[in-house]
Amino acid sequence: MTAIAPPDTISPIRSPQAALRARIGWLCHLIRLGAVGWPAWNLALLFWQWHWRDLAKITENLGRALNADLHGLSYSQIDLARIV
Amino acid sequence: MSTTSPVIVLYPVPASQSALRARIGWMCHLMRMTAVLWSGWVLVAIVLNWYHSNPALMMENLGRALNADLSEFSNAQVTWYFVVWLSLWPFNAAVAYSIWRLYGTFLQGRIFTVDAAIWMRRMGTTGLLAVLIGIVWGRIALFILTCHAHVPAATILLFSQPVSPAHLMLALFCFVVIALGHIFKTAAEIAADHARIV
Repeated sequence: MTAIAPPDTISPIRSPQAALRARIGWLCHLIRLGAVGWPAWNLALLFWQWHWRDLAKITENLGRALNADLHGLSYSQIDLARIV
Repeated sequence: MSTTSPVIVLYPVPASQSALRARIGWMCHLMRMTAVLWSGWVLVAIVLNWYHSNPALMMENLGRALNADLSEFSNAQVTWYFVVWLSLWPFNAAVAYSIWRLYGTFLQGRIFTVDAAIWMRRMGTTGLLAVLIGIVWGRIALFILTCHAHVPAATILLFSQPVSPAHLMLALFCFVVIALGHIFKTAAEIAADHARIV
């Protein structure tokens, strides 16, 4: 048994902090899940795009966006960019 | 969650907050200016995009990305696209307004107060709303621009990552602000109660 009783047991009236905890509990769980899910999602996306990379398509799309001829682009260049 | 609060009770501000106010004053001004500039920038970007738009090139690029022939589009579609995009700008403005008011409250020296906490919560809520609307808008825009070509709905809904990690990060940030708003509001109420008892 602890020396100090939790705030809820001191008074039958619900303390403001306990009411707040009840109000934002779901929000805290959501933020924790999101915080774990976000880097995991980024990592999964990075590997997914790496696995399914298509040199011809990347060369064409990037070349069009930059309005430049990027023929000669190699997989090692793309991989280096991904690693960085 | 409601974004409006019928009554904002102005509790007295402890003197210790004026020192904090002096320390963060420049930051509050910076945040207010940035919020206004951001909102204005979004508006100018939409208008400039509309003004300089090249519907044929836009449709050609979109058609290539979707692997569909969109050449039979009408100018009304492109106009609708920009009109709907423009009509969503007030949601951005609402975020900027909430930021403006929150930091305005701080500038008045009212930092750990209920009214500041309420504006913080509103900032988070309007931000979250803007993020969700941005996600939905991406799909609506595609429907508007491809409605003449009978592109399968599944293709439009799944095209180019409807929800990205960047959306999640923004939503997460908004949830953190909402949670802090709730926490600060309760803290300010407890502090005000204690001050009254003392």
